[in-house]
Amino acid sequence: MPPKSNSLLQGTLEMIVLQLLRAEPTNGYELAQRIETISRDVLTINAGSLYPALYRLEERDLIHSAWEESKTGRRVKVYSLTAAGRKELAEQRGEWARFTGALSAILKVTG
Amino acid sequence: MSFIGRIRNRVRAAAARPRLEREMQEEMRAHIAQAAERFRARGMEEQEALLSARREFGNVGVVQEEARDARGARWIESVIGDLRHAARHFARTPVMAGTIVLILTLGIGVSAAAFAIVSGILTRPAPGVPADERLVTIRGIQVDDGRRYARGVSYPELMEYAHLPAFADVAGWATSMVVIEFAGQEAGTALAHFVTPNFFRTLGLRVSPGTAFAQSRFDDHAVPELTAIIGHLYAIDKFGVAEAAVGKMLKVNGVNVVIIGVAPPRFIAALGDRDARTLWLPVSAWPLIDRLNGDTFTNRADASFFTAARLRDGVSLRQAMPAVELVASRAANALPRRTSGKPRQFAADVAPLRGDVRIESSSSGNIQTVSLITGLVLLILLVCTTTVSSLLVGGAVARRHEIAVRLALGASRARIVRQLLTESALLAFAAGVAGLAVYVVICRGLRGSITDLDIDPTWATALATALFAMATSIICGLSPALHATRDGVSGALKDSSGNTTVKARLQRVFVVAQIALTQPLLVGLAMMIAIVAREANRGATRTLAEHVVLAEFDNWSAASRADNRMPAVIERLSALPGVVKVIPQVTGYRILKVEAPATGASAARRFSIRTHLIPPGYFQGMDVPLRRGREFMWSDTTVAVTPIVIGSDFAAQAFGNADPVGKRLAALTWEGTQRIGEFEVVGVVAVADIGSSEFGSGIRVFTPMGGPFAVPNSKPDALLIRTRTPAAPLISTFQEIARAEAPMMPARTMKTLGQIDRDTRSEIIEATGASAAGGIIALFLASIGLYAVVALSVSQRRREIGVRVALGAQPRQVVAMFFRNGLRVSLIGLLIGLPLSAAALKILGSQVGVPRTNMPAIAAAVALAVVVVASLASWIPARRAAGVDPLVALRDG
Repeated sequence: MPPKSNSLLQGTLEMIVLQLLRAEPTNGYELAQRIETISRDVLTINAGSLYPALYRLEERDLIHSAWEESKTGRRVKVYSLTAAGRKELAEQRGEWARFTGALSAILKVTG
Repeated sequence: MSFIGRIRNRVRAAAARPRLEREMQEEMRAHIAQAAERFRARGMEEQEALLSARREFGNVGVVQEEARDARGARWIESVIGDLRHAARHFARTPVMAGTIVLILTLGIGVSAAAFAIVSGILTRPAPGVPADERLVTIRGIQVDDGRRYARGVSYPELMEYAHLPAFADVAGWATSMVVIEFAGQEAGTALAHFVTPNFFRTLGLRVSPGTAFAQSRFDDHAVPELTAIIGHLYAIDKFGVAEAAVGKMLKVNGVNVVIIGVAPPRFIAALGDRDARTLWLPVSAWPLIDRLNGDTFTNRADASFFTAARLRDGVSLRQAMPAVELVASRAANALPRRTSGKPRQFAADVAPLRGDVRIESSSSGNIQTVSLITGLVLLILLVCTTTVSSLLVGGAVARRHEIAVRLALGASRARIVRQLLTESALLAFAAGVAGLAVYVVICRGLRGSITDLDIDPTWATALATALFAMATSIICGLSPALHATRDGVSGALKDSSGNTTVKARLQRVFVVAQIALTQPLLVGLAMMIAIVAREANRGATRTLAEHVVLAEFDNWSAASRADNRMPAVIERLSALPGVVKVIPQVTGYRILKVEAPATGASAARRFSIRTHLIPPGYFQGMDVPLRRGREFMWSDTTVAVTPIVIGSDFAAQAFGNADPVGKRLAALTWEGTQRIGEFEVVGVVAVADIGSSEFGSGIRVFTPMGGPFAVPNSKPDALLIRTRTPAAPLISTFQEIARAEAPMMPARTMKTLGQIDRDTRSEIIEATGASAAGGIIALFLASIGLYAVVALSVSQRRREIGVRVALGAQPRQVVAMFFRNGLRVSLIGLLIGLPLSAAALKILGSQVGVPRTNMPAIAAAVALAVVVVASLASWIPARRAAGVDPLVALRDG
């Protein structure tokens, strides 16, 4: 089993969710699968983290949900990004870029 | 997201909870099904795929719980849970919950009503006047030896105030009693305010129906305008509806006047005396109606006017002050020096126009009233909160086992404390709602009987009440809640009734506090009841009650001042067959202090007295025998030492067993600061014949009419008509004669003494019955509180009792022990409360004038009541506990 990076996930899960939903509206299960696939199994996400995160984002009106039919004909709840979510994502990405920039600068100097 | 937004979402989440719950479960089922599909696609069996999917998902219950938390619905859900739990708990203990709610209801209702009264006194203008912070009064002040007294202002001074730039409007008025005759009705008296034309406008009042005065300027006073605006209640009383009054004619002191308008409802006067029978006339009509000399409007010495003014926008009270002071000092300089040669010193200030603004001595009376009310309310609240708090401590301690089990099952301490606080908040909420209803009822009741204050249920008061209810719930609930959860799981479970010493000590403290605080409250209530009882019995001993008619006349109007018709009335009445004697009287009295000289047994003592003026032959005419000495003679008015007749009870108080006749008493001013003469006792009458000498705030003493201690300028204004047969059938004849002889001196009262006593008694019972009933209810509640607190503390020690009985103690011994303990605790509380009670007695006694002789009796009765209640409360539960099988007591804890 790949190592869990929960400490990283906790801070960035919301950003990841927003980022993935910006690419394409989807349901909770697909979202979890996509995170695993895209991160090449580095990041796994369990339902106990995913759903609270989704509900929190929905509470804050950053994402929106609707029931739809999946490709396999199953009724699933599909989440999509709202305008406020788009704005929030932009801000978080900016923040992230500054953070990683600063971090790599430090690593470079002291490395 | 904003705070409001979050709250809205949470509320929405709570409302949508069932749907969201369904959706969440469906969503998670779909998740697991999708995962199972993936596992099946990898070639797993149906069952195995499903299991793997579930394993991957994790504990569904936990995930759902976390997801619910994320939505924030948990918060509301748990509050609802707490409320439900609390409701179930109270359903199990209805008596305790009911008692707590009842006590809190009383506390909240009474304190809110008192708050309304205080705010009525401090913040509201007179009834009927719209609240406006620019409304003020300019108060004339006379400075005398450094002391400040209220004075009226003269018309010229009023005009100068009116020209000051600080004021947008200055109105003035002079007040006088007048005789009113409506066509076809008997004459009566009324209060007439002679007002400047801008009076109603200045106060922000609109005359409706009808119109304002035709004259509009301050100097429009050369020609009298004979119109009147009549009080709303007065108009309804006389004409049925207010509209019907407009256009009607009436006679004011014999002068024809036409009613042109009706004042707004509830408005009676901006300041000072208030009477429902009130009318307003233009100041120009004053000299004619009150038969004044012509120089009213120019005479600076005639200071008859009061003022109401409206500050100009942007001018503060303080800014208006200097100009007003200047006008006042100029007014003093324009007057001649006083007879003593000292110059006059006038001042003036500007005060907000409140329902009750006065100067100096009476404003300190105001402060006294306010602080008395506040003190009483604080006391009531303290008693309420201590009672409720100790009941809750008892309740929480009794539930230690339940609390321990919940702690063991994983509930946090905060969770339990929140639960207990929810319970007290629920009680406080119920009590708050009920208390608000009590408050509205009290305000409605007071509004009917108090006309000089506006006491309306207001939002501010309702808000204060709500805040109070919240505060109470936290104060009452917090300490028991923390206390009950302090020991943690193991301690609580190990011995769910253990650690009793700490609990018992805490409860004892509560009991002592409760008794100490209840005591002064009971003293106040007992005193009120004593007063009601005394008032209801007063005058019951008069022997001649049905053979004497008291006729009181209003003889103060200008018309009767100019032409005193009293002698003619006396003459006609005396000539009637069946009339034995007609005795003139003066209704006014003076309050003085007298000093009885030191005797062998005691030092010099002072008494407050009321001088009642009676003519020679009074006692003989009333068939009252003198026990000693004689009654007055006509020559008594001229002697240097004023003779007095006193009651036998006062004689015993002042002179003991010695013969009072010939004894002297020094006469002092009512403050007791200055000696003003001397009295000599010439006669003593038995208490049985005239009733007790105790009379309100003083001792009744008879002095000769026309003597030196008469009320200044008093003429007889009442008659006692002694008849041979029962007097009731003759009254209509007396009335006709008085009307014919003195039409401008209407009779205010014309009743037999017996009838007056009966009326007074029923009036008193009506007026004080409600408050006495309230007092009894409060007494009852305080007793219940006391009982509950003591009884709980005893029943908490059932286990101890069980142990003692099991170890061989006789139930009787155990009961006796608890009884002794209870008695000791209540005696400690009694001792601590004693100074408080003494203070309460002193304050109340000085306010309502309870005879000092009764005070020890009242204090003793209250102490006895407290001890009896506390003893019963420790005896009954102890007996019950001792009667229980020790096995049961030990097992149940």
